[in-house]
Amino acid sequence: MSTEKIDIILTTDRTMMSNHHGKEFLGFMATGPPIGMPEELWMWIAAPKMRTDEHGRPWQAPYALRKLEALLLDNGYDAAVIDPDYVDRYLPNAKILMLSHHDYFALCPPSSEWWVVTKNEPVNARSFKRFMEKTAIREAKKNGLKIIVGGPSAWQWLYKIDLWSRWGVDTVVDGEGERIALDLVKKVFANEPLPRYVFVGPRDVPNIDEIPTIKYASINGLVEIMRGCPRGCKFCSVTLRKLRHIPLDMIEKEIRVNVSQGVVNGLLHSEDVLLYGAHGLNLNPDALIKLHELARRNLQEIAWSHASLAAIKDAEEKYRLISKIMEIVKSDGTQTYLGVEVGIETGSARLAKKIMPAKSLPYPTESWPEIVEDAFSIMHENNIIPAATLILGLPEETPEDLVQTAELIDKLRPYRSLIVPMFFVPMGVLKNKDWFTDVKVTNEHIEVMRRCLWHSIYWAEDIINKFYLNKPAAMPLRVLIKAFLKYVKWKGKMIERKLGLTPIETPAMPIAK
Amino acid sequence: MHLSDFSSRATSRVRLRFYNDRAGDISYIEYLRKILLHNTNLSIVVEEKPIDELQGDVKFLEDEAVLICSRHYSVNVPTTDRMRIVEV
Repeated sequence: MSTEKIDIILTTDRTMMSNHHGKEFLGFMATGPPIGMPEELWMWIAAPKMRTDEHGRPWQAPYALRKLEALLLDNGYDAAVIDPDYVDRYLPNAKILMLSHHDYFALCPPSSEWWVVTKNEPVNARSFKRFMEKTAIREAKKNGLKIIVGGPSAWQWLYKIDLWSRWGVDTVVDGEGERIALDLVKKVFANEPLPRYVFVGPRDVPNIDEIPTIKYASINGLVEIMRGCPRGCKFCSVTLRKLRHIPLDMIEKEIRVNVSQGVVNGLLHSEDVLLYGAHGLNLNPDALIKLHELARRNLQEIAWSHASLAAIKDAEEKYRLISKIMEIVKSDGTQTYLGVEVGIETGSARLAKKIMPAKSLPYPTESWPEIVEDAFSIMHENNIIPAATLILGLPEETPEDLVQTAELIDKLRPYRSLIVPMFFVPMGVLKNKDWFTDVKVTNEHIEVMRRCLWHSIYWAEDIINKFYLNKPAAMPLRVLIKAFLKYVKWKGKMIERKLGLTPIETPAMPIAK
Repeated sequence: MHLSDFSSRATSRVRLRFYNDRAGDISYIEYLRKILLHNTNLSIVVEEKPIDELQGDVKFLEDEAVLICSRHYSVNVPTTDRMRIVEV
């Protein structure tokens, strides 16, 4: 093995260092264990290897690593994002190994749920463990390598002290890293001891002018348009951070970095894309139109990371904004749909009021189920395909809440979407609640889960055939995923029979609009 | 002593330093977990140092500090008006 020199290696394991065939949603398969196929095949579908140059620098890399890389380069450090398959050649000469991950140990939803349901460890945690067990890392530790880990799942290390110690992780950073990362790197270069753990509080997050612009392509062209969220949902950690809107010129600069490196599609990232430029929760149609015109000018395909259902309804009812945005999105004649992740969380207005009182604004929380249905209808009419989440096991959840959630899922059947139920993991201000790995799954949970399953199966084939994997190049992937869906359908029916449940009707596939 | 005391005093940063005679032993994190996860407002830094550096650090203390120590462990540190000692 030849060695090369970089002082600071930024990397992560394969499940994160992948563009998931250019289909961000396929990355969610990395949150599950391999089901009905060998792990290698599962990994190929969920997280194929990233193309690299001869130095092992990946074509695309996680946005957070790209931000850190830019910060370090701007400050004169010798740093680079390296593909996990190539780190061995750099480790003997490196001073610092910096890691980031969305879900190091598969404790976040939906990984934790697949783990509980299947009793098998998801591939993201397996892949990360394989990476950390590398002999080259162990050897480099003996020679003084410092390991700093961060990212949105940094809190999970507090539950994995044995591995923290075993792998010789020096510092865990929980929170936005721009300010603290430089301090830590300076300490390493000055041979000063590192802290064990750092939590970056809301008052220490960076201002816009402290956030660097990426220098190399991010995975699937992800570009941040906002940080933080004003809705204050109790289960969410993002909402704890100060709200910042990234200026349009900075967004365009990053999009152009991606496009110049061949990443021609883009994913606008925010906890609520429709709040871009908003004053509090009052939408700013002008800012949103400008944002999408900018994206249209530069990108082939546009996607959103997240949007809130109340904002979707508000945008359309007040300004016809969803229709206008989709006219812009489709104006080049090639893009036919837009994907987004949305949070239903519960069908119970009572529970919504307790855990997410601002999520329904500007509408009253009492009408939460109607808001959800209206937003789904608006998205369906405009070819926006949501992957929706539900949270099961929330504190103070009652069987009646779950019945209402099940009823809401039934009402959502006519609308093209995927619905994924997830077990509650205490994040945000609820993260001090006693966390469970021994989930008590009730009959009502099962009713909600199987409704989600059949809803998603009902729509998945339509989405795959007509939108998501409809191009000839996606044929192998399409065949594999359809085979997987057949397996899930068979398994689902088998489990229903075993539990003595009356099958939920699965009508014939509807004709897509 | 609760972290909320610091929060209510508009302190935005807290440093928790563990003086330990076993270098590299991070088992104390187990006891800290709940506190760290409970916190959402303050910036927190957790550090560890050899126990024999405690006296020197106390002598040159610049910020307000609380020394929490086991009542089964005799600590001989110089008294200073910047530091409060709590035995647990």
